[in-house]
Amino acid sequence: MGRPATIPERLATRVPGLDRLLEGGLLVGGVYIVQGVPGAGKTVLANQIAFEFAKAGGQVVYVTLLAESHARMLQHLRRMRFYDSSVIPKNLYYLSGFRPLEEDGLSGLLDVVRQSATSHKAGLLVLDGLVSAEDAAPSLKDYKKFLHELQVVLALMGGTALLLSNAERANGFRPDHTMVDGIIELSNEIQNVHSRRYLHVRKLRGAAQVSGRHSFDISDAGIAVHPRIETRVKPASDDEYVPSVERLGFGIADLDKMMEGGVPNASATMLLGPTGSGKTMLGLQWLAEGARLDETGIYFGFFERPPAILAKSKRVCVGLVEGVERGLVHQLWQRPVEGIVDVVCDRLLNEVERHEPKRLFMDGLDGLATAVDIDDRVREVMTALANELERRGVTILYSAESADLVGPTMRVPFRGVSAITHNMIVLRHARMRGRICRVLSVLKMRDSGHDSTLRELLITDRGILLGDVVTALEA
Amino acid sequence: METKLVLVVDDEVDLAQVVADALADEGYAVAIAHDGRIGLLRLAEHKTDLVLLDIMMPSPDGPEMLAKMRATPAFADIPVVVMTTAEYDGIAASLPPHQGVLSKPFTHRELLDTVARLVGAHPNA
Repeated sequence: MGRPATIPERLATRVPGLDRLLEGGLLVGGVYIVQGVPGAGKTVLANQIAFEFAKAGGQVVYVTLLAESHARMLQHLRRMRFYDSSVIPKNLYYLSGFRPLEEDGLSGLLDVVRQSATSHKAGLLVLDGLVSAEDAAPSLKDYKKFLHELQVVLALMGGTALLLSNAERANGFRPDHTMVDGIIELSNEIQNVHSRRYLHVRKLRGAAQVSGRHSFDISDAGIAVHPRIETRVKPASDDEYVPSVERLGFGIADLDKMMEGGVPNASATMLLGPTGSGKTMLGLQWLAEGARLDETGIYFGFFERPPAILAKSKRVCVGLVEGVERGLVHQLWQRPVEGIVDVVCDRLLNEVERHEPKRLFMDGLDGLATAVDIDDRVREVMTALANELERRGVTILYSAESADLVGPTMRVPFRGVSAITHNMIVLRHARMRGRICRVLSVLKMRDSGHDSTLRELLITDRGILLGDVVTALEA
Repeated sequence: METKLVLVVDDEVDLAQVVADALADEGYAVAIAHDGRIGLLRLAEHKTDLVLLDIMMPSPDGPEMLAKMRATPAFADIPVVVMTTAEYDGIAASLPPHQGVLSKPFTHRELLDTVARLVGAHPNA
């Protein structure tokens, strides 16, 4: 009845990311409260679901109980990509329920809703401004009766309803919350100077919702929900782990020899060192070597833009530019501020899915860590991401910047990554024979022996080389 | 000059009132209805010179009321301007004969010009 034929039991919202949280969509015949403070995105969300449903051939009746006119509301939505004027009014019908509610109370509103939903064979009903219905109810009992009757009407029609409510009224125990099939809460918070939007499925009958809060954003494309990366990746099973014999070398003969051929396949290797110690060049050289062997790689950077990096590395990392030109090395750049870590991870995993790289160099992992909204999540995010990449057989090299510029001590800049780091190469500046030089050592390797001697790292126009074993560093 | 009566039919109460006030300020007589059923009753009560008719309303909606007007000899010749949030080009062909359109949101000037075109210059002009 007014529903696209392809959706028998669930009404897919088609809002990116949301159906994943709802186990496929809203229950057909279900009543859902969407709540949030003004400006949280309730109306955009409801309209996006309504337009997508209408474009798929469904029938929607959208009843407003608020003062904002339909024309004004739609004017704001017109710039969004989901907006399609051709579905109004044939498939998407806007009505004002304000007057029937003012003049005849809840029964008047229910009459209008019932008649309109029936005459338009609505598969989806949106009631925007539930707070007005609540205010019009003489008692809590009358309000509950209204909701119950609305459910009966929808059940008879096989329709689904979204009731948009102001969260400021919805705090604490709410009897209406016990009556509905689901509650989707939208919030908007300031963290430091960043504004972040969150969606929380607080209740979901008939499905196991993905719990907790998830980021979402509103752009010209409409709302996109970004389920927490920790909830969307499969944890790697210990049973599945098979030590790798394959090595992915750097193409630096002495370094590969120290690592018994290179980093093990599908492992994670940290390049730790202060600024200017050669981390980026070493990572790019690793990608260049992969390209030389016809392996696909991704450069994922947070600070310098890829063209600048490529230009800088042109003489040092022979074959990298050619690798890009041949379509073997792909570049992805992410501004290190204002990011939402789940969006960043989505982008990365989408690129990984698209290109199926063998090698991934994440340059400046601290950039990713700054996009994590809550410090406690750094470990969870990094673990989830590393597990997922490992599961897909991607070998990761990532650089992390230590604060100590010169000297024997070296601190990892953020917590939570040591556990997911299988191998570690440490770079540092040191004084030797009266000059500052770069020094490299392989600190640890999973399931592998390695040469842990200190070697001078030489970045030259002829490529990257290791110098002699360093036996004496000056204090 | 005889005062012209304009009937505004729109379920959005505030919008109907604002339109009515703007026309009243110009010297028109104005009646308001918030759905097609009341709209037809108002037509029967008052000799009406023009109807400003919203499309999306509780049943009977704008197109239904317009169809009933055209089928009723007493109302068949009353000019009608449809007011619509939907794209007019997409719905024009499905509507019974009408004499004008106001795409929401419209300006004060567009409203007055459209009304004046169909019922003659407004009394205060």
